[in-house]
Amino acid sequence: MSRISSHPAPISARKHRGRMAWLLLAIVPVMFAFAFANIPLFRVWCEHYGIAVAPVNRAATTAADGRTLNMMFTGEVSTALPIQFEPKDSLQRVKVGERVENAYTFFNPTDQPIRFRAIHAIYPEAAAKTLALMQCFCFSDQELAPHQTKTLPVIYEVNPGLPGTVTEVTLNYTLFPK
Amino acid sequence: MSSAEVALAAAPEAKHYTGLLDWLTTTDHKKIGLMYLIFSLVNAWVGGLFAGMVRLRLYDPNWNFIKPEFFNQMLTMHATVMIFMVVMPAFVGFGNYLVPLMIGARDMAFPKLNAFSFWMLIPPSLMMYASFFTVGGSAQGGWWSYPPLSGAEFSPGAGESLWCLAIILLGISSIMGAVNFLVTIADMRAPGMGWMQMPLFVWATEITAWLLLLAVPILSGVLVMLLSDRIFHTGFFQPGLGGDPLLYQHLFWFFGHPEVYIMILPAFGIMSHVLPAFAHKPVFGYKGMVYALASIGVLGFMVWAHHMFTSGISPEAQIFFSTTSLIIAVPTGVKVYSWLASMWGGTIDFSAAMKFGLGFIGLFVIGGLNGVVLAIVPFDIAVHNTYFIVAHLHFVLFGGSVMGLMAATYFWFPKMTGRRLSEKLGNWHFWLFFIGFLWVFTPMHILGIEGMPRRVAFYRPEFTDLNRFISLGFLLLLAGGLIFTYNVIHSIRHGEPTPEPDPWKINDVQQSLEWMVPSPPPAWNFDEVPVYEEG
Repeated sequence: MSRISSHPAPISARKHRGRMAWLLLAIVPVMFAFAFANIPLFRVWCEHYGIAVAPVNRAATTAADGRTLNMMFTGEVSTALPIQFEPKDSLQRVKVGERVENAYTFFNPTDQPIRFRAIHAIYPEAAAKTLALMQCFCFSDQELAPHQTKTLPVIYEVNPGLPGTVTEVTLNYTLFPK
Repeated sequence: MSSAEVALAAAPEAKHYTGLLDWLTTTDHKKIGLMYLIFSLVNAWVGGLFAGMVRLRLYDPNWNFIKPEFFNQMLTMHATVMIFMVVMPAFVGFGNYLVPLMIGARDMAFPKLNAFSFWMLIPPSLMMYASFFTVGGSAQGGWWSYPPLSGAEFSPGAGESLWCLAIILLGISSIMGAVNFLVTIADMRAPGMGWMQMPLFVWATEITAWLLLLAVPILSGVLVMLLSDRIFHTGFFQPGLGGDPLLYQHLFWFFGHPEVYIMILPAFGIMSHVLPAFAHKPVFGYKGMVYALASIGVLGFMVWAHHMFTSGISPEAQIFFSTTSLIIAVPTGVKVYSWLASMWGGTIDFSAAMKFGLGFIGLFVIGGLNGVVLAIVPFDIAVHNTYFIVAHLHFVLFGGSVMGLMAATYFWFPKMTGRRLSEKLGNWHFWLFFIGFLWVFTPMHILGIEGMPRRVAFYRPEFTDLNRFISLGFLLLLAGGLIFTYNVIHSIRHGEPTPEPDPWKINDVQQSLEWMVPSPPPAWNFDEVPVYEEG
């Protein structure tokens, strides 16, 4: 496999080695800079996916004048109701007193028509009195034909009576069979 | 000009010192490698005694002579020392000693840079230990040093800042070492030795060097941000100033997970030498082993957020990181099966090195398998921050990396010193380590599932019995460590002499260049540059 011979040592390689080392070392400032580049990249990523870490913090500073908050939209289905549904925006940044629109998309994956009623809940309790729903699919019973997809709007407004300590409000819907 | 003449022409440039001055000024990769190994052994004692303090406190949390603050320091520094000042330098030490020999080179590509990398370890290590004497003591925020805990508000002392600075400096050493390895391996292989003829330990070092080069600057960057937050009150990780502590976790683990592989891949390489050697068979599935090493290296950059399943990442991200983490089991499985196949049907010689090698497989596979379980999000959420994680990481880091280092020490000690370590003491060492390890770390799975949180100096009364049992097991590991250290110190002067090139009589099948030069090798390794020929 290997034998000893008088093969000349690659002396001319010295320059080549130096060049290679500098090239490899160039990776170091790139990766170092990449760490810093993640500061803006991380914010973009979080905002895109609705992970509201950075925006919430900005809200915390502007909440002193009390007028900006996060609206979170969630939903669940009661037992044995095979509907799939989700909000258009799971998070909205809203100003107090501003009229805002969101929507939920419903899908019936079964071969049967389904009638259901959405019941809403607002957290925290302190916000419940000041969140006004102008239009909501929860006002009446809804029906989905087999395999039908339906998008229904929610229009709401947060009244100025909202306590200053509240910076985040969750609007949750639970669907019940009718 | 023949290579021998080149050697002679180059020789007069170097001044020749003897004794201590020789060691302080040497650029010989073998001496530097040995210094790395001695550095690791010394720090292993310090880090081990820190672990002893942790276990002492947990034997009975009512014994308040180890205060909770001191417990936190011990916990943080145990991990820091073991990772950055024991396991990493030890693998670099073996790499330094063995890589040039294995590829048929006279030295590393940049011998002075190599010496610089080693000596660069000393100031930050002293800084680390000096931090105990600052007001408030050393860092207490764990080796991951998450803000806000590691921020100026909750870690006001100088200890945490010194910790950050020391890790950044240790990183410079690692980066320089990595560049040196990459150039050496790329450019100094013996004529005829292609990439796919390199011994697997060289491959493991190559991949590890890439991981170091890509991951360590990220750690440096994130620690610069943390230091800046601490000292200049910037807001990188402070929500009040528009920053985000979660970003720290992402960046830290983007370094931190490749770091895990930095600490295990060289052990994989070592296993691919030790296990076939003592089964007297060539290694099975060489190509598969190389591809497995490389794919573990690549996948290692795609799993970081599995450390953060409970940190509020989205379900889509959880699924992604869970999947990539599970996929790593595939190349790892390829390696384990190849090692088993390498031994299959061989005549196995149960030397101390082989015992550590076999111990490695058993313990590492347990650690790897409970890692697979941990990659499953619901389970991870249930046991996150409990002793289950402590058990898992020690099964891979102690059962894997440390057992690998021990196997390497018994295996290559005759090459490095020309004397054999005592097999009898090695046997005692192995069984004390193996039983002591299982004694200490197996019950931690139970404690974790029952919900004992890690990193805390107190626990609920029902955990007392198991914690006392674990703390007693530490004594076995301590005894094993004492025997090993005595064995090393004694055998350097009084071990059985092994001046022949191949003291284990394995190179007829192993066919690796380091076993073709005398033990210990002469300063220039090879009288003439070897030429690698297949067959």
